Amino acid sequence: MKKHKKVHYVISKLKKGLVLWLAMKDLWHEKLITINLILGTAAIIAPLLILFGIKFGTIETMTNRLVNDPKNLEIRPLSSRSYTPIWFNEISKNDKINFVIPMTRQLSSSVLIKPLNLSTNSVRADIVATDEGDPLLLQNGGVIPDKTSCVLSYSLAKKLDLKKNDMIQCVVTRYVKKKIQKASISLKVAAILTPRAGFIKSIYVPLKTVENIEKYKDGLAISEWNWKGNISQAYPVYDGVFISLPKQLDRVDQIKLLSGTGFSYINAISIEKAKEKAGYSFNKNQNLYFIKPYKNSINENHIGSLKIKLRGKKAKLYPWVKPIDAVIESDKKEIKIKIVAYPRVNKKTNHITLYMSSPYSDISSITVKVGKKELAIPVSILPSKEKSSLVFVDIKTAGMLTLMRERNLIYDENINKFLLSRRGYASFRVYAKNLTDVEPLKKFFEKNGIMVSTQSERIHEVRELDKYLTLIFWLIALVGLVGGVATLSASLYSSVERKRKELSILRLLGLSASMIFRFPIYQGIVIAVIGVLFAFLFFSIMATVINRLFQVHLQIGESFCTLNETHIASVLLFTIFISIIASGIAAYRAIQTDPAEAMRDE
Amino acid sequence: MGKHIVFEIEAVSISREKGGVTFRLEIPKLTIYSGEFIGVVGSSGCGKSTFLDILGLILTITSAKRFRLSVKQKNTIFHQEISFLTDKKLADIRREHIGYILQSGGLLPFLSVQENILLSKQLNNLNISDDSFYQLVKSLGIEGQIKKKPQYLSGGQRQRVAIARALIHKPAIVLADEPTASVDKPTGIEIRDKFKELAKAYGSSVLMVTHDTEMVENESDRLLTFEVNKINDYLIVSRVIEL
Repeated sequence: MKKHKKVHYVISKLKKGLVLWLAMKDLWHEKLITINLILGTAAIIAPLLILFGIKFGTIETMTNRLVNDPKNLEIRPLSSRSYTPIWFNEISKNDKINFVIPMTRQLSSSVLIKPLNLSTNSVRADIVATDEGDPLLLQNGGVIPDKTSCVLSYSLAKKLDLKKNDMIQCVVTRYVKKKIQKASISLKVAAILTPRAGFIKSIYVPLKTVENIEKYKDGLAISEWNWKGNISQAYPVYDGVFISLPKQLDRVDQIKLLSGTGFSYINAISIEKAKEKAGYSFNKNQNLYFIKPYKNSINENHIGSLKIKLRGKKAKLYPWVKPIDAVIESDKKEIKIKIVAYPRVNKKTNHITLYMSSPYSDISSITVKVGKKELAIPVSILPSKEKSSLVFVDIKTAGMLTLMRERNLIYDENINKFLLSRRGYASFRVYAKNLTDVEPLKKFFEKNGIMVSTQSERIHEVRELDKYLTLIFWLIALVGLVGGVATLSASLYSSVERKRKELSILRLLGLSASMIFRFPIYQGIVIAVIGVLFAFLFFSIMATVINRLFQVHLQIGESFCTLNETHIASVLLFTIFISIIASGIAAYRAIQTDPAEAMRDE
Repeated sequence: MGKHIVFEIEAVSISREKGGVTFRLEIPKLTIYSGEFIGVVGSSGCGKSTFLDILGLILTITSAKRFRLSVKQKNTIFHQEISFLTDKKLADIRREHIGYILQSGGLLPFLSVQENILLSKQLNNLNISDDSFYQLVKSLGIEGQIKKKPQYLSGGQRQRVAIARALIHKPAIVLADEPTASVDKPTGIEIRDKFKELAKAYGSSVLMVTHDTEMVENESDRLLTFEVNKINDYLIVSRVIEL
């Protein structure tokens, strides 16, 4: 008797990819049916692709046009008022704002543009300030001009037949003392904007250039361009006045001093207290009073009124200012000082002279700090006779520095004078970062009392259109998808049904249920992938035709019918998913088939 | 080469119900040896096909005392009790150790003759030389048809291809279900003779089912048939017996 080994058979491994090979062989064998299935799939998917392509393309084009056109992101104030540099500084910090630039008064922004050749043509244009990052220029084919160049609007360049790199003359006129005065600067055309930037004849230059033109129109001189005119000199203001006089003032006299002089309070003050307040000492034999306004500062006119009221009383007036903060830099160290007004200046010089008890020899300038404003001024330093930690300066200079609380000053070293710089700007141009930021910004400005105009309505309309179109497209697509899924499932299912015989032979020959399951699934995937590729081919042809038809209405890079990579990948994956589900159901039925069926030949 | 047992069956039965009538096939005892050529004859409805399905491991049997397949691999005989194996395991045994010839060939229409024959080789990942393949197809007279699809072959040619596919991987047993039914008598005889000759050469046992007793009675080593008893209106019992 043979000894039986209780061991399982050695089962050889199946060749890899055999099921896929068999499935592909079968598809190839039934070419016509396979082509039918592929075209059927393509016929279901292609119209859906075109539908989505049109929806996606049209809306994207419209949205892009809205987004890319800076005009739609622009917020313009409806009325003029004075916007200070501080206001601009604050507003530029708003994270919804991409770009903000001041605009000058409408009247002062009108200039005459002449080509710098023999042409006698000239055109009146709006001069508009620009700066780094101006989207209106940068997104309409422009560059940011420097102080020697400019950018022209399309209509202006066309009118004067100007090209890039041409030279132009910008003529500014003003009416002073019944006479017309003219001044001009030459500028190089750095770029010409596309028509999209606007229809108005405009010239874009740096803000400084626009400011100078406005100043000139206001009658002022522009020294850097050698344009003649007035100088906007600063004037001193004070916080109070010490009155020193031989006789005492009775209460009536005191009240008289408050009447019509701009002052509100008067008090007798002791010599000691006065010294403490002023930093320097007063004549002990005199009566001393301190007079000050209610809230604002006082100027030379107020002091003049006071002098008139005190006529005949042998009174001496010492204007007083609150100590002014400043910083000096000595030996690379910053030293904080407080400056006050000082009446006993030795001699009048053109330079500003500071008096301090322990002077620094290496100092030639100081930086005055008033609130957030800073101003550097050249100084010379002399020793002070007063025993005080305060630093003294002549009364007028102290008054000028006090004016910094109210106005912006500049110090012109050429003429050694304090000049007033501008208070504010009449208007502004603001560009929001995104379309979605426009509406909140509009509300923000309106909340701050600035009525503005935006393209909100147009933006809103496109949004609404997008919303409803999307809804309609989805409804159509849903019907298409349901039909598509049903057709694809039915085709694949019936295809597997037809193959029951072959599948049962394969089972009989030893293919396991899981392998039989994979057979129709592989076929479904291949049909789906090729079907989708055909659908994309058809879609590409149709999209090209549609885009060609509407070419006139399209700009470079735009299309009416388009899909991106994500859409394509999604459609492919979705179709594969549906084909797996459909053929999977059929495959499940196939593996339920008894292999015995194969034995029962017809 | 000594003979060994291929199938060892004892008290195997299967019941099937159709239209309220239960048909029960019983195999009291059956031993099939290697290289044997066994004819199975019987009239329609006696259970020939069911018997073949049982041996083909494609029907789940109702009860069995013993149902064992033994195969020789590398001079060692392996025994496998197959009554209650998983579907996967049964599929593995089918593809490696059993060959099938169906009434009209059972060829896959999408594969060429060559691919159909070599499918057994591919399924089992075997190394079969071109020589042995050509020898086999030549001996069956189908060497000129190997590139064709089954649909372009005659009935006889299809059966020859089916024989080649059933034998090429040298299975322990080949189950042939009416392999000559779809051809004329002389062709049938020719096919039977070639089949018998090649099965012997390949060392495979053969179980050939036919309704034509003449086709097998003088050529078989043994002849099996069925003893059908109608117990009542609801139960028919068919028993496999040796003639």
